[in-house]
Amino acid sequence: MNPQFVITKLVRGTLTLLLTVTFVFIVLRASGDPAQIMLSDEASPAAVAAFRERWGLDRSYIEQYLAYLTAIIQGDFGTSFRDGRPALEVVMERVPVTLLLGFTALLITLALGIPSGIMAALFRGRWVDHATMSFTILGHSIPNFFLGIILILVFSMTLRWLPSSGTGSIWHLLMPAVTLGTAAAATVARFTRSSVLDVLHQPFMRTAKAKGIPYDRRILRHALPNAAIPVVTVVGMRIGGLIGGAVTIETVFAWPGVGMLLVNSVNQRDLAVVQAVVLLIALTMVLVNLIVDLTYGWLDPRIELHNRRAAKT
Amino acid sequence: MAEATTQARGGIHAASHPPAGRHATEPVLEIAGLTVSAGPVDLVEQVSLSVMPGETLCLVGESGCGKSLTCMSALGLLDDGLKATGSVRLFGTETMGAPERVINAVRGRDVTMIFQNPMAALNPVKRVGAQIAEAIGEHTELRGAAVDRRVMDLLEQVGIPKVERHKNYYPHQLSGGMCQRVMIAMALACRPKLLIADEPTTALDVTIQAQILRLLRDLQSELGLAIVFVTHDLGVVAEIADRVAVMYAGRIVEAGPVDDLFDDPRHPYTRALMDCRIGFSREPGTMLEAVKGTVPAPSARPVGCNFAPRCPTADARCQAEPSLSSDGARAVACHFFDPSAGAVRQ
Ligand SMILES: Nc1ncnc2c1ncn2[C@@H]1O[C@H](COP(=O)(O)OP(=O)(O)OP(=O)(O)O)[C@@H](O)[C@H]1O
Ligand code: SF4
Ligand SMILES: [Mg+2]
Repeated sequence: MNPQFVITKLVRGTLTLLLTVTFVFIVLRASGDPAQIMLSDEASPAAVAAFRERWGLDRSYIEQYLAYLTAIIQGDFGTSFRDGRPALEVVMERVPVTLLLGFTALLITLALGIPSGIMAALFRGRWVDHATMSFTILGHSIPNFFLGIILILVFSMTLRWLPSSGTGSIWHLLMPAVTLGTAAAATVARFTRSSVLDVLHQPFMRTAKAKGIPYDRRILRHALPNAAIPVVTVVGMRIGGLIGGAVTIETVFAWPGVGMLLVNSVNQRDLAVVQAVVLLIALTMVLVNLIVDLTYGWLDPRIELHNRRAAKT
Repeated sequence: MAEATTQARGGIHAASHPPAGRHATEPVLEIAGLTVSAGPVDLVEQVSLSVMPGETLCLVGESGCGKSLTCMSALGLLDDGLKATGSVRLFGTETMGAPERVINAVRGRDVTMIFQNPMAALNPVKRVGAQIAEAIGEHTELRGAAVDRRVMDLLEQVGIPKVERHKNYYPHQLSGGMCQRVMIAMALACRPKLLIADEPTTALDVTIQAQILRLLRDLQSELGLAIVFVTHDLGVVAEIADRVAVMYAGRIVEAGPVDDLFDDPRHPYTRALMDCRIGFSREPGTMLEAVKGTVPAPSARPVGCNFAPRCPTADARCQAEPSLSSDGARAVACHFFDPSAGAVRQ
């Protein structure tokens, strides 16, 4: 992979982050006196004064912005008024729980979506294909939270097999992860299928056949590496969806992660925490995109050239 | 129809030069009564041809007349949507309708193909050297560094400069002509007995083209390589062909030894081709422009002789389909061809 491509992507990611931080700053300042918004109504005058001092609220906007930016870069997102600890600390202790849910959901997405998409393409028009396609239609049309509620009704209320909320065991993880992963799996399956179908009709597949390469190796060595390219993009996009979905799903299943923290903090107007969550999500998104782009560049040698050309013009 | 087919095959055979290979008696490729159809439309109709070891058969004809489909049928490479009937025998073994392993016993090793669009025919995410190496690894005992050396030899043979560097390139980093040479190297990698080359030199400049033709001739005398060579370029035909089969609108209209065909074309279409060759450059595509009109689409072919709408000598008889008949040296599909008289009556 050429360095220029990597640098372009890094710069773009950093710019996106800067934009998000700036946006959050503007929203906070535009919505009134930050001291009033960020602190609770019962905050003491001394606390308000300290807050103003710390964020330089009596100075110019430019100075305030720079102070804000510096603080963010240093990981200082302010203090959660709810428990008096730094907001970042409050958020970070929830991250592992959400990551566990997110990765399990992603695993389900990939393990379900990619093989079924490949099979549907290879057995186009046969029952595997029809079954997969029906599943994707279902997966698409059922909203996440609704599927979550149905699962709770069936497996917790009626059958009493699985706990409906909380953490602690793999059984707690199962339903939220399945709920979260299903819709994404449907998208991934559909994309994988069309991507593989498209590649199967490419002339280079005929070349592989003419070379005397047996069917299974033609698929493994020639079709799948080419078909993977668009699938990586979709998976990357769905990771964004997973992060968004986690907020609702964590609430439905009382999964004590970042998503639930966000909802609670919004309800309690603990804006330092909300702000930290928003920026953290932005950072995650940027990182995921970066990883997707780099994977893409690694899978598809043509991308570099394309980007080099795009960078020049 | 079967009778005509047998006749035609006999005719083409009788015309062939003494072959250079050891198994001189058996054709390496024998196609009989091949019809390729897309749904109700026949794209290729009743094509029969055969190639002896060490022999070069040139397949010529305007764009869309079915040359590529005929070639791909020979290797069982048609798209899923197309249906082929008839018989294809490779080295004496019937492959039409046989399971894939039957053809895979020879495909890629004893018989290889060069495709018309070399850029699309190469895998975009694999280095070209690795794509050649794959063929070698699949069919020979060579491994590791030996494969690498063979790849570089091959690339040098087809005139690729700086092979050390170029073998690590991806197809998109090479020009069309370079990709074509990679395709040729790949096709020759396992020293095949039969090479089916679908317009292999069209994207190449004259010097490289001459080099490739020389390489093919060398392999021919060295290994007894048989070649089916599709081309628009009658100059190339004159240079390398032993026999020529002329296709028009999905059918073979004339076949015979190259000298006979050039000196004394019998079918009105072949005659038109030869006429416009005189005084024309060897630029691909120019040779057929002097034949007035265009080839009918497969779905819009006329009743009777496919060439009738463009034929200067067509008459009432041409409402019926002419069958390919042979005078021993030459097979011609025209009502005006009289095998016993040995000439088309004027
Ligand atoms: N998969 C397909 N489905 C339907 N029609 C097809 C298909 N492939 C080819 N054809 C048609 O069959 C005819 C013969 O095609 P073919 O590619 O064999 O021509 P060709 O003689 O090789 O022409 P060219 O000189 O342009 O390569 C053309 O009219 C083409 O449009
Ligand atoms: S059969 Fe008739 S139309 Fe066809 S080539 Fe002969 S003369 Fe022309
Ligand atoms: Mg063609």
